[in-house]
Amino acid sequence: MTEVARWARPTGATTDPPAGPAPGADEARSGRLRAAATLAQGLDANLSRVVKGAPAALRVAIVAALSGGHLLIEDVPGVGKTVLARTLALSLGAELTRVQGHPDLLPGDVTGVTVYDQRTGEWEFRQGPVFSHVVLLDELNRTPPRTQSALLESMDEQQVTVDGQTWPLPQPHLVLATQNPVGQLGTFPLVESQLDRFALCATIGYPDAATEARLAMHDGGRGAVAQLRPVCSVAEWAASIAATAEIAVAPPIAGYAVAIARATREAAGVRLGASPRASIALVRSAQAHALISGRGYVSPDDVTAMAVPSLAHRLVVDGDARFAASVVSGVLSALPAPRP
Amino acid sequence: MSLAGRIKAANKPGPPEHSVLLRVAATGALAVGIAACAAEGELSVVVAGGSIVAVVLGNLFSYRRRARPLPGLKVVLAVVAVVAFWRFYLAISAAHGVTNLAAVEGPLAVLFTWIQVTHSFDVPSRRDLAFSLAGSVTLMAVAAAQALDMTFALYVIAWAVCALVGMTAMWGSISGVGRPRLRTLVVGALTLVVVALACIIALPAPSVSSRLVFPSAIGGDVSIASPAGLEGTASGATFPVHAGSGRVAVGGFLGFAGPLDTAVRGALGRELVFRVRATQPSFWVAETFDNWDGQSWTEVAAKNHPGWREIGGGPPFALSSAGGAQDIQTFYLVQPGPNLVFHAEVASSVWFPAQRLFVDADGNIRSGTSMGSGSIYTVVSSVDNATTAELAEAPAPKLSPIDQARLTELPHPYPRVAALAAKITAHATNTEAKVLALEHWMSIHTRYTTDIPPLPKGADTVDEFLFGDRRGFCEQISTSLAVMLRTLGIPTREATGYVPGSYNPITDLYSVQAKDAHAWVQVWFPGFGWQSFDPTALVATVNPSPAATLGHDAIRALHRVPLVPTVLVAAALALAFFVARRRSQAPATPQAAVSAALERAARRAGLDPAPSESLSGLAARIDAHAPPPAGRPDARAIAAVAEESAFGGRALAGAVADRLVSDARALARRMSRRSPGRRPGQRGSEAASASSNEAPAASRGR
Amino acid sequence: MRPRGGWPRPTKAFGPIAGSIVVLLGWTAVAHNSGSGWVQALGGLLAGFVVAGLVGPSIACARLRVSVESNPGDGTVGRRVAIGVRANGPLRIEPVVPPGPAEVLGPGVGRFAVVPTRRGPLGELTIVVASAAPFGILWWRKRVVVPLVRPLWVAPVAGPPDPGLLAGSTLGAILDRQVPRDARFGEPRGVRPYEAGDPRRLVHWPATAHRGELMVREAERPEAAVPEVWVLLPDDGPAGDLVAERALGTLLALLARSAPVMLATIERGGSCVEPVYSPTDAGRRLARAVANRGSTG
Repeated sequence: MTEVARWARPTGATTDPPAGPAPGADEARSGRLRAAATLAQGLDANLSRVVKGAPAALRVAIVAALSGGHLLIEDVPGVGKTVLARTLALSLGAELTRVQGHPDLLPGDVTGVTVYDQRTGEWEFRQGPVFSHVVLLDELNRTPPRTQSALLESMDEQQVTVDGQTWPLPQPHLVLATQNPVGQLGTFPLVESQLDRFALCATIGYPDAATEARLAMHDGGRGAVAQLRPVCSVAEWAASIAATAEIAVAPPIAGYAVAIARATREAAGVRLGASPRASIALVRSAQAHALISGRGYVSPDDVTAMAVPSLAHRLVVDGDARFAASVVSGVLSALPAPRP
Repeated sequence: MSLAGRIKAANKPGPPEHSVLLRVAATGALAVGIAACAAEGELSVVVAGGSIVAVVLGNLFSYRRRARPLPGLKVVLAVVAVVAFWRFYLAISAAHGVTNLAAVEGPLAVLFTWIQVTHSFDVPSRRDLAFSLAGSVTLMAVAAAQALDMTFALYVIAWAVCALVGMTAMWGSISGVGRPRLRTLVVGALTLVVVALACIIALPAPSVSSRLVFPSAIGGDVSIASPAGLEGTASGATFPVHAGSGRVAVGGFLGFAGPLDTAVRGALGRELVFRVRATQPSFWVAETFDNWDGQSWTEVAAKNHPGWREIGGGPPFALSSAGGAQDIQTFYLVQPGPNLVFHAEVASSVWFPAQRLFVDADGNIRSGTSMGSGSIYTVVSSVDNATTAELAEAPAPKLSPIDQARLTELPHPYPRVAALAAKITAHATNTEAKVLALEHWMSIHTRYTTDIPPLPKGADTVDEFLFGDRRGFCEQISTSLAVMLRTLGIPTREATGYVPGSYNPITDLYSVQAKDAHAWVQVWFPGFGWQSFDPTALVATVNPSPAATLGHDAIRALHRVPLVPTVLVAAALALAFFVARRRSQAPATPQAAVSAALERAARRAGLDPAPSESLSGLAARIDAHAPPPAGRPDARAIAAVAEESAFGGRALAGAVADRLVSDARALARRMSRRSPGRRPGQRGSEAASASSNEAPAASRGR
Repeated sequence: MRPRGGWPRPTKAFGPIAGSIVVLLGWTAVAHNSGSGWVQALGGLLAGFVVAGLVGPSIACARLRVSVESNPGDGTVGRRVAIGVRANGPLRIEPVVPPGPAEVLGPGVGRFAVVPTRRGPLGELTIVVASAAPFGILWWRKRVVVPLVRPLWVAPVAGPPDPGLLAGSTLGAILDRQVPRDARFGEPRGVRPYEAGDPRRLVHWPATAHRGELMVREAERPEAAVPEVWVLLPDDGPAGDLVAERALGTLLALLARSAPVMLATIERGGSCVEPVYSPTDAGRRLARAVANRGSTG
């Protein structure tokens, strides 16, 4: 997180800091941004204490937390997916509910059920685990498609409808899902519409030998989680999300993000390209990335940095899913980046 | 495929041509061709006008019926074409044989016009229109063969424009572009002009070699009663004779008379007298004079001279069988002239449209009719321009005693002149050397001017000139040379006529003006005959090539252009052009200027910037490649400010923007000074190989 | 992506060049001997037309830039495929690989057709572009390779149906292991104990109640209901095309009776056993099919 340290330094290195049009409003805004950046710094400190050797995944997780987008962590078992999710929830000072995916998981198990209370003689709605600020869906792709589709509504519309009655979810609401790579035994591949609802996808990957040895010596990992303390309250977290949305997005930058999304639709070997939802998610993520990089505006580099995490998992491609990342990279190298 | 099938396939009309422009251009080219033929007298105005109307109507008809040609039309047109050929055959049979191409050219133009008019009623397809364009070339060629002056350029330009538009419209129709663009037309026109000029300059001058092409015409029809009579004084008013001279001026030049009176003075104008087409320039001889009486030259002393001889039988008239190189001259009279037949040196045969011709023993030729304007005749002359060396080896003149006496006769002894001539030629051993010595002496000691007083009564021209103020014009100078030669016993005579005049490489004609009239000396050399010597001026003896003439003219024109102001204006224009160009390409905003500067820096550093790279990414690579010197901002900082102001909605104050741009440009300049070899050794290569993420470390390490 | 190109060459140049030389030589002779400079000047203009007409197209041709604007993703051997192109000037396009009829197009966006001769993916076109600007006297042409905007998958033509390609042949056994046990298209064969990952709807409740343990239905591939076609191409050349043609014929015959048909092929990424529902599907799959080279497996 060296970029956060740079936040204090004025970017106008060659000159005096550029004079803004309205000092008062600008000051307030930069105060909000600074608070959000500090929060991001704290998150990074906590996460890197637990999850070793995967800075890129941590960054994506922080971006998800700041942009308020749902995060899908996709990797083989045992590399710390769950630990990452738990650490994030804890650091955000939010209650964490955890749903373990398995083939018998029913929609009601997640969203809640209406039960008949014999004492009062009324039907009462028992909230499911999804009614929480941070929901950890472990091994999402082991749940049957029916349950997955029940999550669609909750993820996208921030509400749950059971027996014709609609219940709002607490705000902010962040879904962290882990999934094993498709093709493993006993899994139900996530449907495209579900994948599209995840704003970001992170891959942790195997740590290198030294890191793995440190993990084995209980440095970081599960043991470290117990020692962590939250870096913020839920209200502060919500303020940070609002502050992130204030990061300036110039029209050429938005156009660049849209161009990337559109280019994936025409790229060779892609059966289904990125949706308009994807380009929105890309801009949101880029805003968060700009914030943790210490900028009050989105630069083209923010967009390129977030393109693969926010687009690749949505593409339906011929052959291996890993090909999707290379499709996005190819699109990035073919499109001209906006220059000032 | 059978032969019939192939012919049928080849004659199958193409798809109907819908391009109106192509049709208009082809019609225009034909109309210009017909008009050109009319202008050169190949067609009568009525025929030409009717043909143009018919061509336009025919093309309109063809355009309306392009998709559904009338059945049987081809047969009708073929019959008309056959009739045209038959008429052509009759026309040339009626002429005096085919020896005279002028008789053929008129019917030929009529034939071509007929064919084109006929054809214009059946031009549905593109190929037919191409044939129309090609037909217009033949019409233009027929007209060009007759064209004598520069006004024909108007027809050539009009035709070239029509043809250029037509050809480009043809491609537009093939390719579906439609109307040709102005740029294409301009480039095409430039190509045409350049290639045409190159061809005209590179090709050798046209030469008259075929005897079939001698045109002839006669302008007047006043028969001249006396065989030796002179006629044609009508235009004397153009060349005013000094009052009181009382001298007969024939054909506008005082020399073209029975006697050449050197006592009177005249002034000559610039009026065009005639044009000559000739393989080489030479003096156009009108008359020669044998007899000198102290003031006037006269043609013959009648008592011992055969006199005029009539030659009949119509053209060609065979005059003499002199040997030597044959040279052909065709004279086109612009003004009515004397009934003298001009020629070069010795005429051997004359194509002249008359029944009789008069010749005297000295080779002077006179026609039996008057020479009106528009007269054309051709003379084949034997030209024997012996070289100086050949003349030097020639033996001493040996003529019959009568001729020897006639050609060295003097009216009275010239003791002073004889003494002077003997003194000048004291060291000369042969005739040629003597002539040259005298010529040389004259060129040094006499001055040319036409502004001399009239000869006093009773005075001798030669005495007056050589022992007076030695000022005079060609008559005085040449007469003095002739008399000096006669005192030395060398057979000599006086000749009058014209110098070649100015050569026009486009029309290939010598334009002879009234002021080109001249008098010079002819000396008899055994074995070579009469050789001309001009003491007044030297005459070019070879045909100038078009390249030489045009080049000379161009250089002369260039010399007239003032050098320094032109260069200054050109430099100013070039500067304005470059400034305007730079301005139009200059980045619109300071941020864009920074972008451009950093990109330039990357290119100079050999980093090969990719369009997909952001400015910060590029800047990071620049810093990695070449860390900035202490105290100078690095590229990343510059890029960050530019990006923040552009994408962060933060306006740059003017001074800040200027500073930023100047910093970026300074960076780019620094890159240009860094040659690849001077990169700071180990560290530089480390930095270059480091990824952009680690670049700051390298930068700090410095 | 600038198309690769060569130097322009004249097309059928003998006629126009020889004709021009004859005309100009004849004209020179006439002009030189007729003695009229104007005839010579006209000849110079004629030479200008000839030079511009003969040499001009080479410059126009060298400056031609062609790029594919649009192309379909699917095609069939022997059928026209329309290609949308953008050119910076008028030109004639003659497709070479794959071949097609020559077409004269104006500047801007135009369309021409190619007729693929080979099955398989097509990433670029080899075409001959020609120009006769400015007069249309002589065509100069150059060969260029232009990339398509997306790969064109060329399906084979349908050959005679070949029962030998139906499952059960010895070739099919190679692929058998890789076919997932999917109960979607099958007949129940029996029940087996539940394994992690089994769909819940496959749980056979009567058997579960009977055995006291979670039991699921087991299905097997139905021979009769969903026919399977296994295609192993001998090579990627003509022999492979022949097999693909027969496979398409077989698939079309089967699809005419019932859909879907299970099709097993080897693609670049590995084996692919998936149902096809329509002739388009079948053609697309067979266009992607490659011979088993070992390295791809």
